[in-house]
Amino acid sequence: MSAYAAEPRLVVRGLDVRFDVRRSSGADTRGAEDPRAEAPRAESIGAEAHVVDGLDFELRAGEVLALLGESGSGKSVTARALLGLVDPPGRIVAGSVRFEGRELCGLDEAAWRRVRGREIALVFQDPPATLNPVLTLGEQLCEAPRAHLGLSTNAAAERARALLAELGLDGGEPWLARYPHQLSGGQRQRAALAQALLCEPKLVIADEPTTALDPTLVAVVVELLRRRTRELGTSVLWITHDLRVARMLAQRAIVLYAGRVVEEGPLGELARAPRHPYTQALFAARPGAEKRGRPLSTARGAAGDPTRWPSGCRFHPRCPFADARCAELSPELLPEPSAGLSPGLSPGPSPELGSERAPRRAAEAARESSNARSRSVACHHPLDERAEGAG
Amino acid sequence: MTSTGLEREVHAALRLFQRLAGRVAVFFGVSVLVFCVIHAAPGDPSLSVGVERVESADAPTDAARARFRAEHLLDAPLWRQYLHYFGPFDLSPRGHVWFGGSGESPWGGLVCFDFGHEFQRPTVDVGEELLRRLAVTAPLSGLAILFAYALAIPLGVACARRRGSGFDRWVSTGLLALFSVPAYWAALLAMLVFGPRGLDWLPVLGLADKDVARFDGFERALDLAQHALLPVAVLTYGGLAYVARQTRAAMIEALESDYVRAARSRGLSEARIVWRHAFANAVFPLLTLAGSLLPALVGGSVLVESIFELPGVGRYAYEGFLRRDYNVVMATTLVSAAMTLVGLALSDALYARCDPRFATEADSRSSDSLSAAEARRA
Repeated sequence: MSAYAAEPRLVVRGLDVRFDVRRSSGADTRGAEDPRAEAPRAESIGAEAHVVDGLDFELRAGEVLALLGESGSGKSVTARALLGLVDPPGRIVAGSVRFEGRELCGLDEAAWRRVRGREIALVFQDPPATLNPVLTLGEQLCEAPRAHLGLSTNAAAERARALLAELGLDGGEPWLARYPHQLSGGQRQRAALAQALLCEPKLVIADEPTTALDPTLVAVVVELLRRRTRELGTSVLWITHDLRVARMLAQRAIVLYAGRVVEEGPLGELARAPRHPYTQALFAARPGAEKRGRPLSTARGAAGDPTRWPSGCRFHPRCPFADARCAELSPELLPEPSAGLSPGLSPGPSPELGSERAPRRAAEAARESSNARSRSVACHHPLDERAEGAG
Repeated sequence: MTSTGLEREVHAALRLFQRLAGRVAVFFGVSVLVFCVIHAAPGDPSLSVGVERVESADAPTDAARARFRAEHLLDAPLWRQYLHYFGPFDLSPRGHVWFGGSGESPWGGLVCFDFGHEFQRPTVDVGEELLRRLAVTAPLSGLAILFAYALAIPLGVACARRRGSGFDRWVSTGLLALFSVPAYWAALLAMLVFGPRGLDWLPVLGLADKDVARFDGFERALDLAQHALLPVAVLTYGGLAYVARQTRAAMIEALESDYVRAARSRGLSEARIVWRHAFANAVFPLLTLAGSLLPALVGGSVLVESIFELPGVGRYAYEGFLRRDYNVVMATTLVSAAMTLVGLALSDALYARCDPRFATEADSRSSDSLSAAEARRA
């Protein structure tokens, strides 16, 4: 039990998700084209899209972690991978997802089903679309508590009514007898959120849930999740590109770029002093971050084709600070200097596997020893200038 | 939203009446069209007068032909012929006195559900004969449709769940091949393979053995089943292929929807996801399809019934065409038309009963306007 208590609730190590585009090049590419899956398009036939590449992070009980990144960075695929729901032709190639000390990768379907919805719940990008149009709210809200918690229909309905009331759907209306089309947009959003949270999951993965929500409801949701983290110790992985909303709830953030973590740390610190040029661009692209009247700064271009990521640092084609080394050297995440380790550059001249593995092991060792929660990328800019200045 | 219960009832009744009136109008429009088409078609019914009555198939005499033409108003203008067919006044020489008839049979026509008599067998009432034929066609087609759905739905769902797999590819290709095979060809092939010229497993003509009168109850049933097996199989496979492809397409769409993804993420059982969540949505196109199968149920298959020599409606229509028996052609065509309209009405009604979005049209309108207002506020 001590190991159980010591380990964070969710530990993700080296998560690696690829989409085999060759297989989808046949009759049906619809699954791969789904924008929400952030999967590669059919043009890149004959290749493998490396959508999530060696993702590491951990999440403690009651903690809210923001997962930041532009579209195509692998956020949504990460969310689905944590539930074992990567659609073919995608698959989890390597890595481990430990939830409360239990390895989830490699579970069979029956075991996954006991995790999904009960331990880990997913809130979708467009919550109202997750309501089945031909079933009453009662039917779709009560099914999960009945299946997972063994509640009777009445007990499940009672629980559903209570949660709906908490979300602002109360007052004598027979909500559970309603069909989705009988509700307004805002009411549907509330019902869909209730659907995900009804079994009181220990981890809530919210995949850009606020992009489609009414502003008033965003506040309601944030408040509900905050209460859940405080009272029930619920952990939340808040996937978003909306920094304003992320800062309402999350304490810590990881920044994902082209399937890799480029920076990790307390959200406030990231906002104040972003290290990686991409993080800088991300925070600079926030309306209000700059003076009114000046054009909004954005990172030029797009992350590119996940079947052919740029060599070396994946951000270098868009990076305003890039030089020749960036195309060769793959940067590694290392704990912050304050954690007692100085940042370093990958020593090998080529981005081959051997040279990549060595610093990663070092980083892992350092992480395990110091249990550092802040990691920054060992990138030549602006970090090693700073390091040189310090040294 | 503010309308009272009574107002809503009146509204619903009005809508129902409108639809019904529209369908009746369509029906009579069809009757006019068919009437014009068969009269425009080449061929003269009076040429085959008496063929069935006179053993020696001599050409009818001129006098007999003239009598026949007068009796059936064949020389009258088309509008008069149609009015005669439509009713309620009988305009023939034996018809209503107002129209120069003798008054022997003043009433008749379509509006009296009187389809007239066969041209060549004046003693046979077309309506009664049609009912006798229906007793053959309806059970056969009904069984065929039942089997088609019973097999197609599990097959389509299984394909959709294993989309892109070898199983799906083989079954889909097989269904496409099946769908592409013309029914008459399949019927002939089945006759050759299973009939006396081939394996000699099954009788291939008619619905009963020539010695059926001597059979007891069980033997009679077995005999009927053996006779019906091939026709039902041939009638089934086309519908089966079509319904299975529709089921597959509808299920694929449903299984890819957000609500199914969400149901998966909530850890529900696969059976519940597939049937309660996905199939409940995929069933609607199949209901529409079922409505369009009703005319097939009644009209039967002209080709299949002719090949297997089944005394059904399809074969009756075929015989009528051959003999230029306008009354038979009109009756069989109109019954099919009526069944098409009834089928449409039925699938509408099924939709309304099963799809909650239809059932509460009024409510949904109010909540839509509500959400629009909410969107404006936001």
